[in-house]
Amino acid sequence: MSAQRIQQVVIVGGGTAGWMTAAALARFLPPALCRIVLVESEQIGTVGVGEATIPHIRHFNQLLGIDENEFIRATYATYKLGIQFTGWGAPDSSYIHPFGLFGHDIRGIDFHHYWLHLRSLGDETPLDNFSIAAVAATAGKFAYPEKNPDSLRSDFGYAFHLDASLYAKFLRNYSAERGVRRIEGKINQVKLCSLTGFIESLTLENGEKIDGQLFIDCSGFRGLLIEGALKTGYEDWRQWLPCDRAVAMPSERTTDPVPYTRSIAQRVGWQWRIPLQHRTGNGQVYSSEYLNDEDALYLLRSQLNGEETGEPNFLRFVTGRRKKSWNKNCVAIGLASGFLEPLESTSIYLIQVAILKLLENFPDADFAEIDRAEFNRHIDLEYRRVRDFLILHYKANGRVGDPFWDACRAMSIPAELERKINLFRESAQVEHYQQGLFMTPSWLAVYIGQGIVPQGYDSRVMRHPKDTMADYLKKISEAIEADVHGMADHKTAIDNAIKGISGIYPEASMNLYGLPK
Amino acid sequence: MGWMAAAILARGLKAEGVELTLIDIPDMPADDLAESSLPAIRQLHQMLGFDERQLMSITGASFKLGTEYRWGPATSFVHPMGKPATIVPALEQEVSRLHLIGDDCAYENYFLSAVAARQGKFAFPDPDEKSIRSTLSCGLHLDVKNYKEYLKDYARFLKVAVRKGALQAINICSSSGFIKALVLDDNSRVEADLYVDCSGESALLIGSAELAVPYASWQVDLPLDRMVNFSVLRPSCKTNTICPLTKVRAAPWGWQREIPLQRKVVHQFIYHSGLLDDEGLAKEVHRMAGASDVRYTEIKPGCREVLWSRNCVAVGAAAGNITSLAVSELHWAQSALVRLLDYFPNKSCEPFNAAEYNRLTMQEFERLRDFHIAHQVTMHSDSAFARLCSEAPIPAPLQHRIDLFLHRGRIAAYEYEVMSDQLWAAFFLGAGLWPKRYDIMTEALPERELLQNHQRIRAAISKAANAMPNHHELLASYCPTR
Ligand SMILES: Cc1cc2nc3c(=O)[nH]c(=O)nc-3n(C[C@H](O)[C@H](O)[C@H](O)COP(=O)(O)OP(=O)(O)OC[C@H]3O[C@@H](n4cnc5c(N)ncnc54)[C@H](O)[C@@H]3O)c2cc1C
Repeated sequence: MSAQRIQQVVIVGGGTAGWMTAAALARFLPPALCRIVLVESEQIGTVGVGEATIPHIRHFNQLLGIDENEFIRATYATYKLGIQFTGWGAPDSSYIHPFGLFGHDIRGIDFHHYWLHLRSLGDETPLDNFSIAAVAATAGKFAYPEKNPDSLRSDFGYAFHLDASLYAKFLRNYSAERGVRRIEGKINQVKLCSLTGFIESLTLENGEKIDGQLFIDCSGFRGLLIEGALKTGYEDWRQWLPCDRAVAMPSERTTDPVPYTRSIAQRVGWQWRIPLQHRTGNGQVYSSEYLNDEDALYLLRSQLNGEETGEPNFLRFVTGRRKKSWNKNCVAIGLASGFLEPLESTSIYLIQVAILKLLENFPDADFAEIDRAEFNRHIDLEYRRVRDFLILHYKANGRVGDPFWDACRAMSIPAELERKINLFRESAQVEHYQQGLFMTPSWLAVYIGQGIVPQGYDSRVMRHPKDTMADYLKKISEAIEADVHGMADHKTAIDNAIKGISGIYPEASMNLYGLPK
Repeated sequence: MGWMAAAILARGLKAEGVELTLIDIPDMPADDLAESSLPAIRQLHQMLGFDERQLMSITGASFKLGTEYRWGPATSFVHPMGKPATIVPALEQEVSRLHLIGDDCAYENYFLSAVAARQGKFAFPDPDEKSIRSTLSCGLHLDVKNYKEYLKDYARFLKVAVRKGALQAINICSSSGFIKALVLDDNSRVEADLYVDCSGESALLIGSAELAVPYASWQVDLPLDRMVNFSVLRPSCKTNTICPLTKVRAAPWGWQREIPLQRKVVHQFIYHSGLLDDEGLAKEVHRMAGASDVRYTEIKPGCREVLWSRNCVAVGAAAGNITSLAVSELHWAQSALVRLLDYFPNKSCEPFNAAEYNRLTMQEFERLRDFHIAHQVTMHSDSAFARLCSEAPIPAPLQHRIDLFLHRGRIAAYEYEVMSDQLWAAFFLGAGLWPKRYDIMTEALPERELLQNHQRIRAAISKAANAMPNHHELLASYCPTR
C-alpha cells in the first residue's frame, strides 16, 4: 500500500451519533492500525430525544454482534411494527404505515390494484387489513417474522422504541471494551491547516490538545467542526417542511405499551407518543410561525394520559442538510449533518447509513477527493428521498380549515415528488427506485391512508368478477386475522425477551419490510 | 422482434381478452444468426410456459455461463454470470490486497461458472443455497431463425392475428394526435388502441413523419455502424468440447464475436466501416474456412428521445440501439416488453404512466450503453478503433465508476443498474483494472493467513468444477439438435 493509513480518528460528540459511530469503527477498524478517540462534554449535554427507530437498527446491532435481548433490557425497549398516523388525512382518519407488505402481488400485478378495484365496486375493507404488521400492531400483538417465504409471517420487519440515552451508554461501554478512548471536556478551539484548510487539532477548555487525521463531527445541531470551523453551508428545507420547533416531555405509562409509534396531527404540527417499558415519550412538533412555545406546551400537556415525569424540553431546529456531509477531513454524522423531523423515525437510520458509507469509503491519510464524492453522493440521495417522503405527509393532508395545514396543501413541492404523486393519482403506480429507504408499501400506506384516490389502476384486474375477488381478498384478511390472534401480547413478548425466553430472534436486513425475497 | 413482442404480450394479456394483431412486413433487414442471452431469458421462457428442452433442441442451443474476452496478444478473461463461489463479503478487496502483494490469481477463478466454462463443463444452477452450484447462473445461445419460428408458432397458438403487407400510411386522430389506423399496401386498414413498433432501425411508426420522435445518435460514444453475421459448421467429429461461453475479441476495427451452437458456430463482426472496408472484410471472412450464410446489417447506435409516444411504444432497435456486443437487442426488448405489461395502459394511454415507462426504460438503456462503452475503455487502447472511441467523453456515471474502482476497488451503485456490483467488479478485475488500494478493514487478517484462506477457496472451486459434466455431453443427452 502506497498511501498511509489513518492512525487516529477523533469523534466529537457523545450523543447517539457519536457513540454509534465509535462502536462501529471500533468493531470494524483493525485496532493495530487505527486508534479512536471520542470527545464529549457533559456540560453541553445531548439532545436527549429520539426514541423511535426503524428495522435497520437491528441490522446495526447484529453487525456489532449485540445480543438483541440484552439490548432490550439495557434500553427499556419495546417492539415497533409501524407508525399510526391519526388525523393526517381527514381529521377523524387513521392509518398505519407498517414495516411490511400489503398482500402479495397476484399474477405479477401489485396487490393494491386488486384492492382498488374491489373498492371501486363498493367494498370498504381498509388496506391495513392486508398487512400482517398493521393488523398485529393494532391488535397489540407481536411475533417474530419467519424466514419461510410461504408463511404469512414472512412479510414484515420490526424495530424498537428505546431510551436513546441508555442506548448511547450501552454503546459507550461496548466501545470502551474495544479500546475507544473517551475524553471528557469542552472543545473551544479548532485549528485548521493554513495550507489545506484541513482540521489539524482540537483544543479543550483545559488546554489539552487532540490531534488526528480524520475528524467526525457528531456535535449535534451546532456542527462545531463542519460548520463552525469549516463553514460548509446548509441547505434550508423549511419551505417544504415548515415545522421548526418541538417540545418533548415524558409521562408515566398508564396502559400496556403498544407495538407502534403514534403520530397525531394537531391544529399546528403533530404529536408523537412513544411507548417504552417504563414510560411514554411525548412531544409536539410545530411551526413557530403558527404556534408559540407556551401554546405548544399546553397542546401537549392537555393530551397526556399519564403523570408528567420530567420537565418540558424545548428544541429548535432548521430542517435541511449540510451542503456536504463530508468536507475536507471532516465527516458530519447525526444532527451535525442535517435534520429531518422525526415523523418517520429516520434520524438514527440516517446516522447508521452515514456510518456504513463511511466504512465503505474509509479514507487514507491522503484524503482522495473521490471518497468524499462517493460518500456525499449517497448521503445526499438518502436525505432527499426521505425528505420527499416526509413532504408527502404534509402536502397530502386533509385538514381543511386549519391555516397551517391549508398552507401545506397549497405549497409547491419538489418536482420529483410532484411526478410521483401525479403518477399515483393517475394510474395507481408507485414510482419505482432501488436506492433509498421508502419503497412501494410505504408510499402506498401514505397515499391511501391520507386519501389520495387514484383515478385509474391496472386495467388487467378489471376483468375479475367481483365475487371471486372479494372472496379471495377476504380469505387473505381472515388468514391474517387468525394468525395475529395466535400471536403473543406485545407486553408478554417484551417480558419474554427480557427474561431471555423468547426463542431465537430472526436475522436482520437493511430493509424496512423484512428479509428481501 | 415482432414475434417476441407478440409472444410476451399475448401471454401477459391472455386473461384480459386483449386482441393482438401482428403486421408481418416484407423485406425487413435480416436478423442476426444467433442470440447470446443473459439469464433473464430463462425466467421469461418459464413465464411463457416454454419447454426449455424442446426449445433448445429446436434451436440447436447451447448454454452460456459467461463471456470470454480476448484482446492484445495474450490477454483473456471470462466474465462470468452468477456470483462468486464464496461468501467472503469483501472478496474483491481481499483479492486486490493479495494482488498487490504479488499473488497473480485471476479473479475469474472465484467464480465456479468461469472455471467450469473454461473447461467446457456445465451444470444447472442449484436452487439449494448451500450448494456451490447455486452460484451458477446461465443464459442460452440460440439459433435465431428457429427461435423466431418457435415464437411464431407460440403466438399463433395464443391467437395472435397476422396480417401481411407493407405499411402505406398512418392515420392520425386530429384531436389527440394518436394513431387511429395503419393502412397497408392493399389499402386495408388495421385499427388498434395501442401500437407497438418493432420495425427495427426503420422505426416505421415512432420515426414516421406523423409521430416524428427524433433519434439521438450515440455514434460518437459507440463508433460502430455495421455488422456482419456468418456461420461455420462444426466438423461432426469435433463436437467433443463446446465451451458454454460467448467469445469476444477486440479487433483493430471493432469487435469479433463467436456464439457456439451445437452444430455450428456463428461469427459476428461489429465494426466501423471506415476502418474495415468490404475487401478487408471479405479477407477476414475468408480466413474462416467454411463460412456460409454471410449477411450484413447497418447499425445506428442511439436512442429515441421518447420511447412511448401517444399510443405508440417502440421496442428493440426501433427504440434504440447499443449494438448487441454484450447485451443483445433481444434482451433489452424483452425487458421493455415485460415492463410494458407492468405499465399496461387503458385506451387513453395515461400520460404519467407512459412517462414513467419512458423514464425507467431510458435509464436502463443508458446503464446498458455505459456497460458497452466500458468494453471500449478497458479493452481497446492502441488501435484505430480506440482512437475513434476516445473522441467522445466517457459518460459521467461510468467515469466515476471506473475512477472509484481504480482508486479502491468499490463499485459505485447507480439507480436502475442491470448488472450486479459483483459482476461489475468481475468485469473490471478481469479487464485488468486492479485498484491501487484496498479497504483498511481488509487488513484485519495477516497476509499469510489471508492467502491460505484464499488458496482453500480456489481449490474448492476448482474441485467443484472438475466434478461437473461436460457441456457437450450434457447437450447431447438433454437437448440434441433436431
Ligand atoms: C424533537 C426531536 C425528536 C426526535 N425524535 C427522533 C426519533 O424518534 N427517532 C430518531 O431516530 N431520532 C429522533 N430525533 C433525532 C435524534 O435525537 C438525533 O438524531 C440523535 O439524538 C443524535 O443526535 P446527535 O448525537 O447528532 O447530537 P446530540 O445528541 O446533540 O449530541 C451532541 C454531542 O456533542 C457534544 N458536543 C457539542 N459541542 C461540544 C463541544 N464544544 N465540546 C465537546 N463536546 C461537544 C455534546 O456534548 C454531545 O455529546 C429527534 C430529534 C428531535 C430534535
